[in-house]
Amino acid sequence: MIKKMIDGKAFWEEVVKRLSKGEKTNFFFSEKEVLLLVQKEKLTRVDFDGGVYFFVKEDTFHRIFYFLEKGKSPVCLPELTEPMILEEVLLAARERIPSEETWEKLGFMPYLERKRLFLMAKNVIPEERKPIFATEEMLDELFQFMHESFEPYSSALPEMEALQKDIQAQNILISIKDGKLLGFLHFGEEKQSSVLWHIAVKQQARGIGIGEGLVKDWFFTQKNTAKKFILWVRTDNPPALRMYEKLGFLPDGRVAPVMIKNI
Amino acid sequence: MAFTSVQFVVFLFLAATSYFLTPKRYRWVTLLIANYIFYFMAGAGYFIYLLVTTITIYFAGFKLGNMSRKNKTDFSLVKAELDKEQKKAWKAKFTKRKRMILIPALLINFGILAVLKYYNFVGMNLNALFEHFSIGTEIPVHSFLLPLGISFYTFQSMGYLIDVYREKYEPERNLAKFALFISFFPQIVQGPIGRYNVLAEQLFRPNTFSYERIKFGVQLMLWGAFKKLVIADRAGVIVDTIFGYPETFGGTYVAVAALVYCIQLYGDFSGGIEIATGAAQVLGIQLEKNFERPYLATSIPDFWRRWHITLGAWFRDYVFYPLSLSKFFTKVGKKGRQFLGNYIGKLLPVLIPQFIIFFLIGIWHGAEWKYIAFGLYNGTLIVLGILFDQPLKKLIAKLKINTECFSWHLFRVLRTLILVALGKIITRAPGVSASAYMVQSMVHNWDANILINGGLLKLGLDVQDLCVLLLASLVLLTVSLLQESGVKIREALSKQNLFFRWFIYLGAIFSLFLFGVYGLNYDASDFIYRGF
Amino acid sequence: METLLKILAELRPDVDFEENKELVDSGELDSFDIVSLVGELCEAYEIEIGAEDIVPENFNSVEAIMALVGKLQED
Repeated sequence: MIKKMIDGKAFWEEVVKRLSKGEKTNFFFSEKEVLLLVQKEKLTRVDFDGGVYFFVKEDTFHRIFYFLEKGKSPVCLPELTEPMILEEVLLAARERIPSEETWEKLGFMPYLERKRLFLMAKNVIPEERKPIFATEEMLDELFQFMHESFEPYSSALPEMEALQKDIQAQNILISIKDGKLLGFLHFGEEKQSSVLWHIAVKQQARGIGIGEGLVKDWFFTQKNTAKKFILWVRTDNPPALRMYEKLGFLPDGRVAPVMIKNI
Repeated sequence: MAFTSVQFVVFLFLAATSYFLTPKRYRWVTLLIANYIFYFMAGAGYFIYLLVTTITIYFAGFKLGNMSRKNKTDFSLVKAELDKEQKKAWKAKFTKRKRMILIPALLINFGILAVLKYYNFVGMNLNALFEHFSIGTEIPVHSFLLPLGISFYTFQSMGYLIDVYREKYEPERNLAKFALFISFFPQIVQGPIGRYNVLAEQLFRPNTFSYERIKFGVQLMLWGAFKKLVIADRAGVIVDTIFGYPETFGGTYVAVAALVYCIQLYGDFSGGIEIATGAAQVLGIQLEKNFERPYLATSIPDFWRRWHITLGAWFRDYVFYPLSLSKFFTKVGKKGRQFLGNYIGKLLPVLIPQFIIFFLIGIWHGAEWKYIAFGLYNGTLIVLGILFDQPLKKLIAKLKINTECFSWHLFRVLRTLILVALGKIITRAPGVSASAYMVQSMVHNWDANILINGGLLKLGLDVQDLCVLLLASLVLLTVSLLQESGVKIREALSKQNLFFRWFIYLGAIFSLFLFGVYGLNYDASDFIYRGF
Repeated sequence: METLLKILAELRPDVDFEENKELVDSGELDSFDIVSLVGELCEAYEIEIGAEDIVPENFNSVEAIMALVGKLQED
């Protein structure tokens, strides 16, 4: 039975207790984020024998998080009409528990996988750049470009409002020619690091170094504020991997496989 | 430390002073200590690589020298009793024994260089291949930082070892002296690559203090600094802008970028070499020429005899000749004459090694596909040049073209310059497809108007800087033309009147401070060739 | 201390745990790390962590984590 979560604090205490008991999970939010989710009424739960599922409702899909007691396997997923996304963040060196097969039995399929790369700011080769930031007039064009460029689930695409805020905060770099948008890079700040959220180049403009140029622009604008540059790259994207490795990025050991059900 | 930093000037001053104050017998020791201090300051962690190379090559050379000596005496004792066949067999056996020392030593040192430089590139591409064929394995990516000058000192010591193997001279018996030979601080950063039989005695002998020589050395350093700080750094701003945003700056901008990059690269590289040569001259040591007015070359082979001369010579002596004169390629030549006709057949032992050499020169520049493309580009031009040399000569004679006049000479120089500039686009653009895009855009969107309608002011330099760049380049061109016609600038200068001389000196120093102001200590624009 | 360093090194081999005294504040350890770490600590030291214990101060340095573990072992 699906129950709505209303008490953030109690939820957080339950989470910590379950972690202490050594339960397996793919949950990784902080207390602050948990309270915010509950407040926005986005969190629901389904208990079962051996664990519990938590669902976070996004616009067009649900994100599923699980807690499994020691030695138990996941069972009985509720029937939902919209797709369900199961994302794990793992240390590549460790085994996946529960294994992909277990989730496949419940109707999930592998969707994609990302790995995390990092580059220390002090290792960035300094280069003079002339970065161009997106302006508010481009909001619609940018929004459309974003939604064309990324897969619909698990890309964490911002809403119009959030996108506008990011443009105003000068968090979006662009490449334009004759007034047309050729590519963009959307980044954010996390503690002392700068994180690349999205980067895309128009199909017809690929292969000439625009992507690399945008990343270098990113380095240039953040070189005095960020200690580290971080990004997630899809493992089925070798050209992107090569570009980042050429610029000096190294994997930090984290991979995020994503599974999906109901599409 | 950068050659154009105050640190280096101070270091050189202290090194030279200690050198000349040391009693003559031990001057070479002071030089060795200075070299190691310099290298240590570049990064203590890299030191181990230099030591490994020093020790392995020293011992390999030592052993080879002993083997050769013993072989000579042994052979002279028995040669009267041996017939031709037996003599040949003896020689072959001895060569095999020598190879057992040479090959491992070469493999270790080239191996270190290859792994440090190319591991990442090979790994990345293999991973892409694995991904394409859905093979699960993944080679861990690891970025190695290159020790200072590893390409240069490795080549210099390999050359020495091959010379000892060929019994060209006796190996250096003193480990410390050998260490001095491959760590000489002016040349370890970016060359020129030296030869033992030319360089060693200069390093080991007690060089005497000479005002005249030091004066020339400092003048050369000033000239190199001028090229680097006033010309190359300025040119670099334009080049970075256009190559950094190829989607914005197409058409004629690409031609501008290519030409200005030629100027930047020459100013930066030859300027650095001149600072090194000047510094060595102060200490009484003459380094070999690395540049000879390369852009006045009349053909691509001529260009490569004027650009990075010591590298080309190294490949010629230690790769090209051994390959083209080897048994394998002699056989190839024979087979070639059989199947492809006399003309091509006899050229084959030259063509294939030449192509290989330029491929190697390409990847020597770095571990990226564009450098491979650059190598293939040059290799193809060289091979085509050799193949069509005779037929073209015949055609020119038939068309009764005058090859002695100035206009023909100018045509050849310009044609070579264009081919060279195109090659440079390949190395500077962000990737092979980017350079293809840029060249296509240059032809497609050609708009010479940008040269007069202020288009050149969008590239990061204002009018004053552009003028300085232009004037300085003209000065450089004038000097080059004078030198090409045989004038020895520094000597000619000292023959002029005192007033004129000091006018030039002060003018040079003044312009360095005025126009190179952001250049001194400007860490961000380190020498392009320094990461080698 | 040795066990703790081993756990941390396995979790994040790229982080310098000996020098950094602002692991959480500087962003070196994020919520994912904390979540993984909590499970490991409870198992390794046979302790139970409460919600009130998961605050940045307790995870900002190796010493702080050690102190937290010590405190919980006594309870």
